[in-house]
Amino acid sequence: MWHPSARLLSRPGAASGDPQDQEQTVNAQLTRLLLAWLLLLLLGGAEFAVSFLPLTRPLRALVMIPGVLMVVTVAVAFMEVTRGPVLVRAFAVAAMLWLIILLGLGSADPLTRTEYYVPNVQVK
Amino acid sequence: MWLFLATEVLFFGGLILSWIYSRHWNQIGFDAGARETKLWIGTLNTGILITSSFTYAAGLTWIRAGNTRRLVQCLTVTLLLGVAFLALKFGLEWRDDFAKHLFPAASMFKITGAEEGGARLFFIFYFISTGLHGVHMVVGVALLLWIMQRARRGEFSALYHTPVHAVGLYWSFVDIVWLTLYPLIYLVGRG
Repeated sequence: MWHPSARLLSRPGAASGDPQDQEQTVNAQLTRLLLAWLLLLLLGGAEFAVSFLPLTRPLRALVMIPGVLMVVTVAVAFMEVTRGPVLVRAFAVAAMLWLIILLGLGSADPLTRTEYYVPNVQVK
Repeated sequence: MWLFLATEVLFFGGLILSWIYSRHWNQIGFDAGARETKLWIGTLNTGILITSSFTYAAGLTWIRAGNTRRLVQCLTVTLLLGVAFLALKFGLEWRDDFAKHLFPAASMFKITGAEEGGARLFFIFYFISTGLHGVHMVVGVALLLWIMQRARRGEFSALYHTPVHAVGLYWSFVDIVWLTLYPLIYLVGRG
């Protein structure tokens, strides 16, 4: 059975119990987290800046693009979706699949409906 | 925890879908509502939550190396950031919204005219979505206190820290929900 600590223990430094190797492993992981945090701040800044561009209403959805990248960054760097066992990845993929189906099918009507002009004529 | 988070994705997914649908038919009112939100609070809270996810993940890294003291330190910072988020959201932002007659059921709603109906709808979604997210944050803060208490008792080590990992997944998920709500509430309607 998979255990969260299995990944660390599988690393050479942790497995050997050598404090110096273990410290290097921790430092490398903290550096990776710090880089992810900086990337998130950068993407957040980009999202904030894009929202002030004079975009037309249909193009306003583009503001969400940095937000989607931020969600992916949190999932990969902090939740470690890609590092978990197959079952974890299966749940993550299934959740995204159902979400896409939900939002895709739900948005299909308002985004594709044609609105016809109806003249203002009174019927006697 | 992953199964629970999958159900949560669908829970918030339905809310976001109804938001998209309602916004599509009430764009002018939604934009008018969005312009009344406090952008600086939303932006500051986004930075706070991102940082709290980082500090929690750092704590998890330390307990994987068997360092309980560092874990408790990281969780304390995470807890303070979570409380700061709640204070800004409910102590400052919501209070100001009520004072400015932005509650959708208010008899003297601030936005009037052609934009009123859509703006009221916007604020219905605003209060429901931020309220639900706030409830999740409160649960997260309670879970943090529980993990910190157990860590202080020395119940976690490099070999056993599954509850720390599970609560970390929950905390990051609550962060993800906010990262989705932030542009929907504060940014898309501006510009």
